[in-house]
Amino acid sequence: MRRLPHWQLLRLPLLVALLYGLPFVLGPYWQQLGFRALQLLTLAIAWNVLAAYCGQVSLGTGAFVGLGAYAVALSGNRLDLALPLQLATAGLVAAGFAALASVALFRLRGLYFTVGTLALAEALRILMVNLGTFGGASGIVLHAATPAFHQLYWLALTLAAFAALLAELLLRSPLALAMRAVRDDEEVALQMGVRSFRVKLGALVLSAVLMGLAGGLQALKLGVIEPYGAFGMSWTIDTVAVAIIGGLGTRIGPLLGTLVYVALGEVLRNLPELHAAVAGVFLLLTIRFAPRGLWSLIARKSAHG
Amino acid sequence: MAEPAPVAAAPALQVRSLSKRFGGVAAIDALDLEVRAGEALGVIGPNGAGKSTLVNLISGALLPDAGALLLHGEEITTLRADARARLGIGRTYQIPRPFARMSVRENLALAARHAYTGTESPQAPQPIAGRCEQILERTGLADVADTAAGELPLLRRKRLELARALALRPRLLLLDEIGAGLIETETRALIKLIIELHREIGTIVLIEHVMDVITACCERTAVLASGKLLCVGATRAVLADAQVAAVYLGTSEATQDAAPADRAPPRVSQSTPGAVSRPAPHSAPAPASALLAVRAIEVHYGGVRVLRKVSINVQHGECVALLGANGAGKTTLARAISGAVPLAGGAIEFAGVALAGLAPERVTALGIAHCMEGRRIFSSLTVEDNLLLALPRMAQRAAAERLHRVYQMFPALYERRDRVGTAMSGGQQQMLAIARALMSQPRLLIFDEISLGLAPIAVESLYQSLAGIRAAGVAMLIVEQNIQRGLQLADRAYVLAHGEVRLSGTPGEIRNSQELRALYVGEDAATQDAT
Amino acid sequence: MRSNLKLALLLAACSTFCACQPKTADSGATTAPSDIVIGATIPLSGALAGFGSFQKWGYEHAVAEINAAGGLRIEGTMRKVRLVIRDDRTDANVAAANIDSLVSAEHAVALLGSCTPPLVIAASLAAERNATPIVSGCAPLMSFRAAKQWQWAWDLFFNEPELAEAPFKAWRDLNVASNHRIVIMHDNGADGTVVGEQLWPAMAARYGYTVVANLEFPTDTTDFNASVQQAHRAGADILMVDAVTPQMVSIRKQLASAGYTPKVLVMEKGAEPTQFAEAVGPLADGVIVGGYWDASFSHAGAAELAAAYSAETQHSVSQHIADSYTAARVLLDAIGSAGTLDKLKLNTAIAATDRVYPVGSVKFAADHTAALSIAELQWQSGQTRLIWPLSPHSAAFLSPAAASAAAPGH
Ligand SMILES: Nc1ncnc2c1ncn2[C@@H]1O[C@H](COP(=O)(O)OP(=O)(O)OP(=O)(O)O)[C@@H](O)[C@H]1O
Ligand SMILES: [Mg+2]
Repeated sequence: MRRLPHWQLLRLPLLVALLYGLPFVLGPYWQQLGFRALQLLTLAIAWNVLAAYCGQVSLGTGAFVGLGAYAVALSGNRLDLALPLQLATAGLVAAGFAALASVALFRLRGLYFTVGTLALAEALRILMVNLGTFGGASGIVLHAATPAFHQLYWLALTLAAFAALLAELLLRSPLALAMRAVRDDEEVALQMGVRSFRVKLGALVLSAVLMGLAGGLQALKLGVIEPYGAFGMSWTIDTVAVAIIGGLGTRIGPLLGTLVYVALGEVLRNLPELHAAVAGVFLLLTIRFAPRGLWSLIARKSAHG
Repeated sequence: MAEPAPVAAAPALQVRSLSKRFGGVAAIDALDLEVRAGEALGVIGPNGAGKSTLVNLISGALLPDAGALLLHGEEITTLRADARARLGIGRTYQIPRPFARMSVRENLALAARHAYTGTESPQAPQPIAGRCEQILERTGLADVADTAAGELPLLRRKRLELARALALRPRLLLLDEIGAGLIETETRALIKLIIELHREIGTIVLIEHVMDVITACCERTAVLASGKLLCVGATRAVLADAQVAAVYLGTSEATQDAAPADRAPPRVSQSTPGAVSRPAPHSAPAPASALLAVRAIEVHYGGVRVLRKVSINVQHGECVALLGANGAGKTTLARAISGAVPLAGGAIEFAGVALAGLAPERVTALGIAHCMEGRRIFSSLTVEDNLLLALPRMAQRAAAERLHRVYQMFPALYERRDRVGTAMSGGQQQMLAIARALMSQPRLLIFDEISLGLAPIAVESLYQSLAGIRAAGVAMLIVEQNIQRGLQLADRAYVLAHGEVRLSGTPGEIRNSQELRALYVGEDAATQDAT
Repeated sequence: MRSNLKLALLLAACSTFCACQPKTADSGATTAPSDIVIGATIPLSGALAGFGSFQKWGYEHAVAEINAAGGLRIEGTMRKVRLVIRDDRTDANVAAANIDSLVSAEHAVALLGSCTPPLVIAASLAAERNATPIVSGCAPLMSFRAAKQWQWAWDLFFNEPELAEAPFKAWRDLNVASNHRIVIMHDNGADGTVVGEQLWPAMAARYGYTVVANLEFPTDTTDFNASVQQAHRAGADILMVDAVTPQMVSIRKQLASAGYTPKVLVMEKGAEPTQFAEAVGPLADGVIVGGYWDASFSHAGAAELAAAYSAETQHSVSQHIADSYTAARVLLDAIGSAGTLDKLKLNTAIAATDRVYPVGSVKFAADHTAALSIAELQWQSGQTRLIWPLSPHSAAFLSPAAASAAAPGH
């Protein structure tokens, strides 16, 4: 790896201090917005690893988010676990489910895999609606008081930083090369000795953990969860939109996509009818004119300029 | 050449009544074959004989319907492909399949990570990066190490196939047509490389349609036909076999070996000389009547000048050969004509129409058909639909008649017309690409690496057909590595080197030119690292 | 060089953010500074969009009335009310996010809630965290109450046990003859389970009826044939169903195609909207559904509210306009009586509510709920008629069996 110059080494702690200190300066509005942005960022990073680097395009975000939310609610209410342990449960449950689902999912290739993941959230939602012990259709109200906005912001910031770090470590590990090989041509990767199942499983589990944690935070934020919102399709749509707008397979893409997507939502927040349409058009324009995301446009400009 | 293996040692690979069917067709039919430890076994056979299928079965890309495979005495029949790779089986793909969005170096690094270590003494393994660099040097890919593999031209992709397989450090190396499309000097270098590799690796199975490579590298050769073993034995004996000549070699290989480089045009007639005006060599200005006139064009790829003031012309009904080493700019010239790469200067005129700036489909509509290197068969369409797609809209009524004509030329396509285009052997796909170009009945045909992947007998009949097409008045521009073949058919030829026209003239003039040999041989050093 | 560019990019993105930063009340670019901002989150799209449209009308009508009368007197000056409505897309996540941004970005001093327990509870929890009062009118009280001890959230609606008991009271008062055998069918959703598993069986026991079959189905089922056959075989005169409208339509049709016409047919919850009657046509006749409001109610303003709705929208009236209108009025009246925008004082004023509204009298209990009185309605010739409690306006009971005998083709 390249060695970073000194001022860059200093930059990171400064940035961290700045980000964690923001709630002391900014009010609840920015804290809420920050929470949402950081949560989306986490989801987009997780999705990016699985879809853009490993080539497994998943529409199952809602499944892992929902599981994480339920894990936090149930482990808090029934087992009285402390917050960190609740969140750990969320990650573990999501990872466990990903590992289980992988057996069936990885029999499917390409589009079939994608459709398979789409069914995950739906199946879990139906299961939760029908499982009276987990609150059925009416869901679960968390016993613990909901954290304050600034605490939620800190949690989301920590999670997003964790996600970025994890993704970075993964991308620098030997696994990254195998993931990209599987993405480019899985058959050939096998011929090169790559255990493609394990590689895909690794990416799926990693993204599931991050999504589960993001879902756990959502449960904390709402104080109540129910199957329709927890396993909702909008988790998937938001995640994919952010990742595509920002740029697939880049480190900075999810961040850029999040900023643009959240800003778009805020600009149009009083025009809900327009919001979906504008977001859709924006997505289409991105796919048409910058199929590799906004970041690719900027990166190209800077390379030429 | 390899010393004979110790008698006691188990064969490197045993293939026992192995069978593989695709639908109703047996691609490999109860095949028994032994690859001895330490030998380089040549495998030849007509297009569609089952050679690539055999590679796929040995490497685990396909699982057999029946039979068994033993690697050094151990059964591997049901092992998955990745496990076999880690056991030391390395393979190349006839139609290259690089990891397109990874750099060349990364392609190698990936394979190197899963290198076979089984029989090595547990001494410290060479670091991956260093090994990859070495392989890149040896295979002449060092200069493109950081290029995305998807951007490489076809022949370098074939090189990458070899390099990647080497990175796996196999003890059994399966090479599927890595020698196609090379000029003489390049072929000689490849032979040298394979012989070296043989010494290092041990066992090699070598599939080739280039007989020079087979004779130089392989002590023994097996001949497949229709999925069965036709014969196996000492290479010389096998190649001399009358049956092998009948199904595979045809007559040309023998004649060519015997013929001196400057002999007169043989069998393939160069009739209608009266109709063709033959410009003098080096005649720079194109006659006004030229069908195609390329005038001093320049092409740059990201700052690098690939073509420098290249001027050529093709007359009505004339066949022009484009010769030169790999990397000389032949493919770029062909692509520039068909509008696939933009010009940085100069002009191209076809039948009086300026082509510069026209989109490829407009160029096609004017009557230029381009049979590209690396084909581009539509994998979701059947063979017949691939052919029909090439038909201009006005010509739909003539569809049946034109299909009939190309099917006559390539009966193998007729038999497989309802099959998906890519579910065919490499040679059959090449036939489809050629047939597709013929479908539109163009005024000018551009063929890039026309005989790539075709068995000698298929090349022979192809050239006979081309002679017929030329006789019917269709002009042709042919990129061909086999100088003799190209010059036999052509009325005129241009020789490119380093993006410039170095030589042009009639076949006789070219053959006798002092420069030709110098150019081709002189390329030697350059091609090794710049191609 | 490159990292500088990244930094610049981030800054640019941040400034985009700042461009859309909420206008604070005193910046006053879009809002007259004196407006009182009330925020509302309702389901204008998604599965509950039908309810949302009624709620929207009810909330807007109440605000329009107040503004027409000059607004509310706050610390001595009359100020107009501005209602900001956000669509929660029938998604609890969005409902909660809406509440957050209504308070933080729009500076709403008080809030109006969504519909059904999941959305109302999610929005109410968000309001609690924002320490801002919220009045909802569309969540049955038991589930609302069960969520937590509320501080800032208020709910006025019916009480599930009363709704469950009403049919039994009605049969008693109307002298409906039957074999006192009941089949219950219910979904496994929040109130479906409570009503079908606990309340109805308990009431049946109390009023001397026997539950011969109790059939549960998931909230996504569309095929009820097995249950219908089972119910048919049980030989009960009375069938009581609790399900949402789409399911209820299927059930009613599948009952008919199975040739099963109970003497008494209660279809709670799902048979209430006009879409039900439109979908099943004459099969609606004789279906009993509990309700908490009808235009024929004698409460002051009931008839006027119904008339205003019909005149404005040309649609037939639903009871949901009454509770949402009332929720908004309760909130507005509390602001008026508090005479301040101090949230705590506002909350106290809501607690003190004790007044008769078009939906009935409203007075909050210590658990922040106000129960609406219950009525039994019955579909008769494409209209809902009040059949209980008995009054000079109430219609006579119609048995589905009699209705299907009368209808041609049945
Ligand atoms: N994926 C496939 N699906 C169906 N049939 C196939 C497929 N691949 C190859 N075949 C058929 O199997 C037979 C053997 O093909 P194979 O590729 O092994 O031939 P080959 O000997 O390598 O020929 P070539 O010299 O042209 O490369 C051919 O008839 C071919 O059409
Ligand atoms: Mg082949």
